[in-house]
Amino acid sequence: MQKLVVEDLGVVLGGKEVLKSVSIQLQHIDIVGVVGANGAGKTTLLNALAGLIPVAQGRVYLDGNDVTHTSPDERLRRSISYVPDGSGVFSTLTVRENLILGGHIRQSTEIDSVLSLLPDLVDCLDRFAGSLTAFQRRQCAFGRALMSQPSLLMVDELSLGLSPISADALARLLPDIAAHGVAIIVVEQDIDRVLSLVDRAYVLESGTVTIEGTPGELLSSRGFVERYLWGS
Amino acid sequence: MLFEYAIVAGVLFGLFYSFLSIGLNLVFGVQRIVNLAHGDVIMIGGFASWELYYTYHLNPLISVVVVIPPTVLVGYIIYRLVIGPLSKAKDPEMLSLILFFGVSQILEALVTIFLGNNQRSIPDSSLISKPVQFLGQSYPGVWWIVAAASIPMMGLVLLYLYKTKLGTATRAIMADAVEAAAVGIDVRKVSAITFGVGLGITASVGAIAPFMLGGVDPSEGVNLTILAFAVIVIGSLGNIAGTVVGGIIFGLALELTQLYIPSWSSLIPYALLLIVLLVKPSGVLGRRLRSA
Repeated sequence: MQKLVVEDLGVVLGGKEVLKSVSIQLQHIDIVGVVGANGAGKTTLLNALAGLIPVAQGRVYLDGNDVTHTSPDERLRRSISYVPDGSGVFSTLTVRENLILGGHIRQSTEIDSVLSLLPDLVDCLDRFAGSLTAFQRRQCAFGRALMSQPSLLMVDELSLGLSPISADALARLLPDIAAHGVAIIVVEQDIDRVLSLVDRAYVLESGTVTIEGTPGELLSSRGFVERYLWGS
Repeated sequence: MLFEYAIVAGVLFGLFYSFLSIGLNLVFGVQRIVNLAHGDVIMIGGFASWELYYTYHLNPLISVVVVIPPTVLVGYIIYRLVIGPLSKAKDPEMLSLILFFGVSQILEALVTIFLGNNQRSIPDSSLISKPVQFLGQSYPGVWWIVAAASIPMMGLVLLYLYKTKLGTATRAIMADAVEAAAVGIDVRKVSAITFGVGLGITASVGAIAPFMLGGVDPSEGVNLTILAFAVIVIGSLGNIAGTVVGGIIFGLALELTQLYIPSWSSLIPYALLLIVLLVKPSGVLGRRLRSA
């Protein structure tokens, strides 16, 4: 059985069709990338999968169950967790409070297992998240999402606002997280980085999936290389 | 000596102004709208305290607590029935402003119809009859009682926000309501409770406000809303700790202008508000806590 099946998904925001007939699939231990230009609909796709915005058409199945119209908290209970773009933290709360809030849906206050994956956070548990560096804030956002013990983790704009070194350090986390049995969808602007991470990638253009395949298949696609790799 | 008197009076009134404004900032922090009926809720609390004192001989300090539960309940119901559904509208902020303006007018009209438009007052002796001597100056005892009552009440709000799960969820919504939903917080439920708590604490200050304002009358709501708005902007919109600082700055500014340029006293605090908006739009505590 697939971990996630998205069939013919459509989203309309402000009267504009932002996603059109998007279909993607994830196996249980996949890392899947979603790439595309700004405004292609990548964040909208993740927001729709997290239940934060309504879908106009299509179905979303998690572990074979239809979750298309379930609330964000219901999806969290069903183990979908989300690291949104931007800092992804509550800046006026401490790191500890951020982590505990991340686990509140499962009544989980045990932060040690998350800290073992993100040891840099240990020394800043009682600091306000807004006072952290961009890299630490992103780690805190990951920690908050992992506190709900997800089986599907969605990460929006993995490297946004980070130095290349920090972005690479964060990217190295993904295989470690996947090794714990977590399927991952990652949205990332840096094509080289995302192709080095994922098992499969989808290219979104104007709200539609135009190209999909393994990194090898994408790199052998002339259309993909011309549009996304030439000049990079 | 007059300067010292103004400073002490400014701090005492400042604590009262902080207490008077904290509910407005709590509601703003979660809803991102200004409750234009804020002053009218204070007025209702004042009339409730007056009624409880003259009918049941209830000490106004007890009324401070007694008025909270029914107001929290009313606030929760209003949120669930009216404000929550408004959030789905195209322009919820503007609709909410209009709604609260209407509620403000209705509350003032209803109180006027049922209780008349005369100012009511509660005798100082219901709290304390003797003046308080401090640093060689004599101050009305009620100023000290009200300021002293304001501290634990604001402390309770801060305890709620910083030491309870519900308070942590409330602060998460204040920081980012969408992300709060993304971590599974029931934003509508927590917002409804916070709105109720905000109204409860506002009615609570109303119970002792007549001692600092000289009485309570149905038309005072608008001025109190403006005063509270000035305090929360000076301190920092959406920052509860900032409200305490904003109230004290406002109190000191008001007392010092009344001492040195009394004819300007009604203008200077609002000039201070404009200066804060121009120099530090995030408020006195805005930057520190937002980056902290």
